[in-house]
Amino acid sequence: MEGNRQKPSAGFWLLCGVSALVVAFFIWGFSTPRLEDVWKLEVKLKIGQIQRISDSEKEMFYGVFEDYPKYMKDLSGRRGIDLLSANSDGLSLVDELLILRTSDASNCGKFMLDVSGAQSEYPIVFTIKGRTWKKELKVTRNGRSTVWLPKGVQVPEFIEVTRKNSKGKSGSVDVKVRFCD
Amino acid sequence: MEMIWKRLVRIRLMSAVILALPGIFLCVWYTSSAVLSLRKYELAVGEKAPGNTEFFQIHLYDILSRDLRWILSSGEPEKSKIETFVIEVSYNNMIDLYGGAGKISDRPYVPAKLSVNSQLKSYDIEIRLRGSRHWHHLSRKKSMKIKVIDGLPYKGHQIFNLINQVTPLVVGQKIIADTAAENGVMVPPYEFVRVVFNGEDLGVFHFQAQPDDTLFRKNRTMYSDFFSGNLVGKGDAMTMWKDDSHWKKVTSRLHSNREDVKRLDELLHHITESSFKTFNAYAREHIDFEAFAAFEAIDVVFGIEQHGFKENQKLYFDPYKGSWVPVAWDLRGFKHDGVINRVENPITIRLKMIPEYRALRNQKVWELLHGDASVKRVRKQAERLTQKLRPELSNDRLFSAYKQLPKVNEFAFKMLRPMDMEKMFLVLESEMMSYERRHSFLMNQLQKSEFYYRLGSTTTNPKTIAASEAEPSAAEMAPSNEEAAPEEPKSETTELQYSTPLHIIVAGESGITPHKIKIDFVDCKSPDWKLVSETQSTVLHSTNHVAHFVSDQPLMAMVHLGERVKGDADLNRLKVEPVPTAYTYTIQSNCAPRKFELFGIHQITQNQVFAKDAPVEVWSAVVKKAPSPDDVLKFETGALSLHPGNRMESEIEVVELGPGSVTISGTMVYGENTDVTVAPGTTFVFDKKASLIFKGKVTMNGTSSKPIVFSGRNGRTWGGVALQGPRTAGSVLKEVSLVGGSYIKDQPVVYTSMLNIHNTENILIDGCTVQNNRGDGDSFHAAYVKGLDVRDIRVENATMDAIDIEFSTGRVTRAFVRNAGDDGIDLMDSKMIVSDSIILGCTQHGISAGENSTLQINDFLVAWTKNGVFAKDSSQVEIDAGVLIHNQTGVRVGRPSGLYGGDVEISANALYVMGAEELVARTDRKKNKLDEGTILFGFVEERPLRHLFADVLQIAGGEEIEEWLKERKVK
Repeated sequence: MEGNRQKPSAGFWLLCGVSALVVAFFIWGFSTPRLEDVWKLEVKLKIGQIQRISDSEKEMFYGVFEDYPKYMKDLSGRRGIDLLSANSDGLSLVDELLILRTSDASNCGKFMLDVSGAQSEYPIVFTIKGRTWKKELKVTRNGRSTVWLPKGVQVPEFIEVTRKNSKGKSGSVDVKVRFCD
Repeated sequence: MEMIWKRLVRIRLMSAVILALPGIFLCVWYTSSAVLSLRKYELAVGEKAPGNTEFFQIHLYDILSRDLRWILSSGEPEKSKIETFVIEVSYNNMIDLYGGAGKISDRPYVPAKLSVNSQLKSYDIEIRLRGSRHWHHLSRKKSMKIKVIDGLPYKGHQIFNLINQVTPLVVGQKIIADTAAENGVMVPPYEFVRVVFNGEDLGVFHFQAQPDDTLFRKNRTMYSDFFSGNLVGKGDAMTMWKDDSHWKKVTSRLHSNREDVKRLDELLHHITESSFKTFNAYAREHIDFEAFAAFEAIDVVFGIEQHGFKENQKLYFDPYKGSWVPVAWDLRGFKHDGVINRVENPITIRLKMIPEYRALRNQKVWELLHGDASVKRVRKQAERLTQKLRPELSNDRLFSAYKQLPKVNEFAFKMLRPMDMEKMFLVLESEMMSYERRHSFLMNQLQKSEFYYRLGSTTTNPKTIAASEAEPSAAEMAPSNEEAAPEEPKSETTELQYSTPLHIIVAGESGITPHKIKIDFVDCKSPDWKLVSETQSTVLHSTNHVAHFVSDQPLMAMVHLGERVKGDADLNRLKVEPVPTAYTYTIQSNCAPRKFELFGIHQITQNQVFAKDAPVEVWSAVVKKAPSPDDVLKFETGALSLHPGNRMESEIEVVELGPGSVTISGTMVYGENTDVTVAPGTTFVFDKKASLIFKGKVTMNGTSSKPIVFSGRNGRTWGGVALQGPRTAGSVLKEVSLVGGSYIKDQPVVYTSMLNIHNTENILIDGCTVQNNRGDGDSFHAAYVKGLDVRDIRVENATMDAIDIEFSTGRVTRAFVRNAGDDGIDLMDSKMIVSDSIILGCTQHGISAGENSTLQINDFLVAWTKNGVFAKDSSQVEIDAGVLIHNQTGVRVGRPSGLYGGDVEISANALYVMGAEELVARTDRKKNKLDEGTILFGFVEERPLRHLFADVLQIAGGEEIEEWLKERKVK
């Protein structure tokens, strides 16, 4: 039996190598470019088709930001911090908020949430999660609450603002986000 | 299986190489295709891709997915809802055609054949590539310009474009173009078509007609001079506006003045070099505010940024209105970046410095936002069009668009990439969301009320002012008391010893009309006060706490040129924005004011608004020194407009002329603020080529014994008379005789006749005679006249048309025309009733209805003409009780020009045709007959002609008609 086993020929190795290369080439060729993924995510966030992005998607964004800082500046606006999820002049159109904060926002160490809803909705606890930090904000009545952002953390970062104990239906509480001013 | 494996393991090197070759070939093929595609794109945009594999992989991905889609797609849908254009070009011509790809100019035309699925016929065409931007020529789907060279134009269009439109919102331009057309903007028709080029289905293209004769005709305007401006080569933002070298005269009213760009030079000169005073006067007369405001409103609402300093300027000069009208072109929009105008150009900047233009523009934006461009309507339209196109696009293998990558750089942003349905709906949603934001932003900007006041310290006046002296003019004031019964100002002497400066400040987009003032005075039982303007005229006078303003003149903010944060470099960054502007008054009162309240009417929303005490930041931003009317605007940041208070409202001056002889030695123009009354028995004696133009209301009430006469000195040829513009509305010309004139030369407006009525309404011409005109003009010409009423007119010995009516409505009654070198009555795109009229001896047609006219003729006689009644180009003619006698042809329908869609319809009730070589001749139908009714050949049945015989011709019956004609022989 042992004698029947022959060493694969050089031709065989060549064929294997070329096949692997061709398959790899086509897999690579057919894989959606990360810029397209980023574009789609950006649009989907903007129109409210999605409300949050996965950690791997965030990493993809961070990678693109690193390679193309202009894009990051464009997304984060003149204050260096802006709302990416669906909104109309800061009024969130979805339940979960996604904010992009960059190093340009160093002078803006906070953002404000103007919350309004029926009294039965309160208290509302917002979970605010950054790249390396997390905090909670308890709101007991309609009005403005300030969220202080930690300093010295890794930026750029996506900040997710979610409602921890949502009692009511989706959209039962209006949240308007203001930055800096 | 084991066998194969064994052989594979032992495969010889050469065999392995042969087996691996297809794989290697595929990899090499796709790699080189991707590299080539990337290189071509780099060359086309003149930029290098960032030095990594990212963009190579994107190109590879796009090519692979396109090929996959090609394999899976089924091609053209079976039942296409859009027209298919099939173009055939020979191989040699195709090489020449593609040789023009990417060139800025001199792209060659080559002969080709076009057939359209909805039509049986095919067209001989010339075709060339269109556009120098990469998306027009990089892919197999190339934008084309097509010229029909043989036969009728396609749907009236001799020249049209098939554009590979690559905006991701596929239906965006169509929505904007349709909305623009519905709102009075001149915009070429815009449709979707499918193109098959030499047998290859290239998918969906955008059909866009070239602005040409058809566009002007469809917009009910006269074919005329039309200019297109684009900066060719390099230059700063003002280069295109300094002279005419970057402008092309696309169409010309007369072939002979193809090179004449005098009007354009005049416009450019005024824009760049005229003072505020001169430009504003020019603009009010020669720029169509309505048309520009409508066009700019579309740009504003849809966030279009294609009409900047350097490109896409298309301007049409209306020959009979004498004014410039914009033509909308390149309408890519649906973007919002927090400014009202996403781009400005010198015309819109200068116009917005004229308060009434800005008010009009804002009003049009407001109307659009509430009407045709409401979010609901635009979304519905977008969804409807997208659904309609869905089957077409999902089978369009070359469907591609730019802006499908994040804006990491311009290179990525403008890259053309394959588009699919998923992405298309994503973009649709995203663009609609941007539009909603823009809509809400614009609503906020326009609704905002920035209305303030600032009261100065009250001082005591040493003087005593007589109330009687201070009584305001009726035009400026009327006391109005709210709480108490109206009380007249005291007639005896009153002491208004307190003087308080008042500044009314406006700062927003909307003008505010001050409406009401409420003042509480300190310990005052009978208040007496007045509001005096800076020019010392009394605006208000009241003996109560409350007074209403009478003038409804809104107070507008001045504007200045600011700089946009975003946008292209250069002057395309300029933005026009309002700045706080103060109007200064003084309150003179008999008691000291304690509390002050001011109310206004918001000009856009018509809401009542309350003025707030001006906060420090507003007061400190108030413009301290406005430019003078003689200053010239500089197109740079910080430049200011005039203070709107500088606008002089001219009063109407009344001029009386005659009786007796009035000599006119040159061309005399009475402006629109001058009403002219001419006394009966006045004779105007014109020197050679002298003319009279009236822009205000004219009243000429001549009588049969004392007619008003216009004639040349010693029988010499003179020019003409014109009533020009809206202010002439209601003018009357009664018993007026015009003899021996020609037409008016060297004016911005084209005057083709001895008597010209243009761009006005409700004009009465009664008992007038127009005789023996000279030169190659018409005798009487009316254009853009609503409600033209011509009675008892007598036109004789006309060198061309006797009565030429274009784009007008009205009636002609009891006209008598004898000897015309062309037509008796010639209608173009008009709606007229002609009755009780006689037309004798015309070289061409007795009565002609062309270009979409509607003509109703009754009780008339036409004799000795080439064609008694002539109609063409979808005109409608209804005849009742008419006699056509001794004409070569009774009724003729001309060959359609192809510029109008519908058919000619001619119907008759009691039409008598005698002595004609042909009764009816039609080139539009197979049979030479009327559409409705029949023709009678003799006066066997005279009853329908009773009124014509008895009252118009004043004869007993048909047997006397020859005798009647004999007495009125023509040349």
